[in-house]
Parts: sequence; structure tokens; C-alpha cells
Amino acid sequence: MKKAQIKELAQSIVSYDGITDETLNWILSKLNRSQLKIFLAFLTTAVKNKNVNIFYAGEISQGDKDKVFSLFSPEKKFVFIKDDESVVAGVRIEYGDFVLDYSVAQIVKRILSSIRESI
Amino acid sequence: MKPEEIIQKIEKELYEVKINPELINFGIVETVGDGIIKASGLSDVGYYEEVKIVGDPSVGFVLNIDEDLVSIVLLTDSGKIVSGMKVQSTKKVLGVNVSDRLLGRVINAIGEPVDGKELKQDNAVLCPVEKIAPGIIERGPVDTPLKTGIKAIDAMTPIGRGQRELIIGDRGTGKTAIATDTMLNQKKRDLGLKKVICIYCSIGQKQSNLAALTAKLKEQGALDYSIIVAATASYPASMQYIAPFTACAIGEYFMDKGEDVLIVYDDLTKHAWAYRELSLLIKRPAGREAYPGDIFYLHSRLLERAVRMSDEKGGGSLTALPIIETQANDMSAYIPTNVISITDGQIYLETDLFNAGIRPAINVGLSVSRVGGAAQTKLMKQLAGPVRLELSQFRELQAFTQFGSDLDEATLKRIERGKRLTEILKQPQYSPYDEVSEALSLFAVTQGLFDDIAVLDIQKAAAQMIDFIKTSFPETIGKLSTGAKIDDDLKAELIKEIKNFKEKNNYGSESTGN
Repeated sequence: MKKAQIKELAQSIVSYDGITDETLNWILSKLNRSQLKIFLAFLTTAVKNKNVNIFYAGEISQGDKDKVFSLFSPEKKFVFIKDDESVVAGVRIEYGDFVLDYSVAQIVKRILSSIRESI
Repeated sequence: MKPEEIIQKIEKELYEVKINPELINFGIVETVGDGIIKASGLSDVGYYEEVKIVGDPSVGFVLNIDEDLVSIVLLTDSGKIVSGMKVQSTKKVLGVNVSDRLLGRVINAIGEPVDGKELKQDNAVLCPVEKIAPGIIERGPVDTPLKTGIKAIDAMTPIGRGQRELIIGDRGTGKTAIATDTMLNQKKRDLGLKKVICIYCSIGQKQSNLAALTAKLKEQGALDYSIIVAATASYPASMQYIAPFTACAIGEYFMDKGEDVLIVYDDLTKHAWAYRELSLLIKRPAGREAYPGDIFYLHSRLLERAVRMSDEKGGGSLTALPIIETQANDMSAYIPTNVISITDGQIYLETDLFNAGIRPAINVGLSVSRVGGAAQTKLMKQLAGPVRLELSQFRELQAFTQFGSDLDEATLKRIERGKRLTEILKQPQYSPYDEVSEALSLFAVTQGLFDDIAVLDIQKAAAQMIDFIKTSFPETIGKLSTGAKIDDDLKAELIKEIKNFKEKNNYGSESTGN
């Protein structure tokens, strides 16, 4: 199977949000070891691109959730994860290769590095 | 820093902090090795963008963006980077912090001090290492001399401010010596010209050589207006690749302020090797001699940044002295021919001349300056004209010297004159000449006033003559210092003074002994 075909396969599996055991066995029989590695890499990337992970501290209201939903297209899969320690307050949104950091932890880190540089 | 100042700085940072979200693009390290990281993700990263490894002090920049992976070249490598670590883009193009504080310092290719002293730069400007060269309209004419203090160069292959003059030759022929003497000569502020800030970029050289050069510059008081960018042989190929661009960025900072800058790239052969190494590691297609296809562009974009700016743009200049090392005097090899075609002339040094005691070992026949007389004063142009001609005639006649007794008088005279010219152009290292001294030496020989002095005594006689005239005839020195042509009156005056010198010091036919 060519690389482009493997990529398309991975993307379609993610867009249909899962496959049957039968389909999975068929895929495993058609791909050799190196192709399987490529398939896994494309699958990971596709999952990363589809999912939007929202890390929050404390509680998050429905209004705030709606604000997050409005930032992305409806096909995305939203996962809310409570993480008081690394966020402190606010939210951190991870989607694809990007991190949109609205957290207090990020602001504090920025202040510290700025102080370090100026001193 | 006092505690009150620290509190003030912290308060200032707290009040000024911007509370807005940060959008970071990151990737994952897939493979790491040989100073190269291949990372997945980083979909928004740009070419030459600086990236950092999360949780590691290493810094790198993007050199290849493929469909699925990004190749990152590490500038500093902690040795603790592993697969799976996060790589974060910084949204900054690779650059170096530049300020006047860099003068007198030795730094590495990313602007960190390596001379053992702290470097605190207030009001530093972040200059990108890669920059598009100034356009045609922004440029001015190259009409101001950059005096090297070396007679052979200032007379026959003069360098102008804003020119690129290549220094090319085999190992051990004195290439770095010429560059060093040029840097030392800028202390003199000859002809009342603007001061020149010197930048020496060491690429792939021995650290001991760089240390010796730094010590010599310091000893002669030249380090105060110099900056040394070190990417010696023990540095990784990435640092050796970036170093000349860093040096150029620093030079452009001063040039944009209206200063004149001289950059020495020592040497671009090793720079090409470093780039070849990086390109092969990131699996770029190999071309001739395994160099990547854009090896010409590597040097052309670097050297095109040497410029003389127009007066409207500040009038500053950036003069480049790239150095290329040949193997067995082969000027027709790949990299030498590339750089020769880019530069505005070359100074070709030969091993045979060096071994024969002609130092600087400049092959006058093969050396050229495409700027030429435009970068010379009228005085030098007048005196240098006959020198080139007479030397070329001497070279043609040299083959016949074995038939000494069978040659006519005119030919013999030409040969003797050529020998004296060759002798007068020799110069010890670390002894740059000012324009007046150069003019006096050349005048004495070209006017035939040294024809009756033995060839072996020419150097000594010239040195004594210069001292004599400077001490005894300051008005003549004043007239020569203007750089104006020698008119008939001044010529007669000079001839009389030189004959006076010969008489007093027992030289030639004027000596009282004859």
C-alpha cells in the first residue's frame, strides 16, 4: 500500500470515529511492519487533529464550555480534563500541534522568565 | 544590582505583564542524533525559526520542513534529548543580540561570550542572522579606500570600503596574516578617514590560533574596535555554519548606524564543509563533491550583504575579506571558483613565493581588484601605475637572468629594477604601513633612486629613509598626507630629500665613500 493510501485510511478511520474488529484485522493483514509504523503515526496525528483536549482547574461552567465549542468546527471531539496542578486557574486547550494557553500558570511562567531576563 | 533596583524591576514586570492567551505550536521528537532532531508536528513552524526543547536547555533552528517531519539542527546540545520530548516553536527567526558592548569581546555563533567575562547588553537589538542584501538603489559607490597597510595590496590590488576581496591560497601562505595586518592597520585612522570596526569570524580554525590572534590584537590595542566570532574546529557543524551569518548580522548593526565595518571570514572552505555535513545529515540530495545544490547560494547571499550604503541610508559600509584555502594551488576547484565569481577580486598567495622569502606571498599577476583605482587616493594611483607594469615586465624577463652577460643594458636595468620592486614590496608581519610610508617607498624605487643600492639593503634603506624624511621634512609629509598627486615641485623636493638621505647614510652613488 502506498504512503498516501495509508494516510487516507488513517484519516477516514478517525473521521468515522472507530472501526470494527474485522476491518482492523483486514488492515493488519495488508500492511507490513514498516507500513504499520507509518499507519500508526498517521493515525496518531489524525486523532490529535480531531480531538480538542481542554484542561481546566476547579469548575468549568456550561457557558465557558460553549465559548470553547464556538472556537472550533462541530466535527471536533471535545475532551474536558480536570488538572488543577498544571493549570492553577483558567484553561489550556490542546488541539493538533497547537496549545492555546489561557491559564494562570502560563502567565506566572511568563512573568518569571521576563524577570530573569531583565535581572 | 542593589535590592531596591531588583524590587523596581520585578514591580515593573508585574505591572507590564500582558494577560492574553499564548498560542504555541509544538511537536514531538521522533529521532535525535548527530546534532539533528526530526520532529513530527510543528505544522506552523517557519524556515530558520528558533525552537526550544521543553524541559531541556538545548536550542535549535529549523533547516528542513518535510511533509511529515521537521529537521531541526541543534546549536547547543545538552545530550539529554530523547525521543518523545516536546519541541516548541518560539515564533522568532534565529538571531543574535547586538549592541556596542560586543566591541572587544569574543563570542560564539549565538552571541554568548566565550572570553570568560560576563556580557550584559543594555538596549541590545535582536538582529536576524539571515537578511536580504540591500537593493541597488540603497547602495553607494565604492570610492573610499580601506587601507590594509600592506604595500603590495594598497598599491596593486586596492580595497575599497564596501568591496568583497577574496584572500586565497594554500595552507600556511599568510592568508590570516594579511587579514590580521588589515585589522591592526585600522588603528592608524590613515588619511583621516572614518574609523573601521573589525569583525573576525573564525570558522573551523584551531583554538590556539584564535587565542594567539586575540592576544596580538589586544597587545596592539586593536581589540578595542574589534569583535571576534568564534566557531573553531571543536564547535559543532551547526555553529560553524551559522557563525559567518552572525558576524554579518553584527556588522550590519554597526553599518546601519553609519559606521564602516570590516569582516574577515576565516575561512569559507570550512564553512562549506560544515554546510555539507549538515545537508548530508538532513538527507538533502548531494551534488558535485557531495556538496548540496545550493552551496553557491550559501556564499553568494552572505557576501552580497557586503555593501557601501548611499548617503541617504547613512553612508555606512561593510567590507568583506573572505578567505579560501586551496589544495596544491588549485584555484579551479569547486568552492574556490564559486567564491572567485562572487567577489570583487582576489589576492592570490602562492607557496613557492612564500618559501622563496617573498612575504606577503602575493602573486601580483593573478591577483586583481575589480574596484581598482576608484578605491585609491590620487597619490597611490600615480605611484602604483608604473609598479604593476614594471613587475609584469620583470616576470617576463626573469627567465633570461641566467644569460646575465648576454643581455642589453636596458634589459639588465629592468631586471634590477624588478628585483628592487619585489624587495620593497616585502613586509614583516604585524607592521602595517601608513599611506605616506607606502608612497615614499614606492616613489624611491620607481624613480630609480634605489637602483644603486644592493637588493639586500633595500628594506633597511627604505625604513631609514622613511624615518629620516618624517623627522627632517615634516612639510613634505604634510603635502603627501593629503593624498593629492605629486606635482613637479613636490617630485623635485622628494628626489632632493632622498638623495640627501642617501648621502648622509652612505647609500649608493650619493654616499661619501664612492
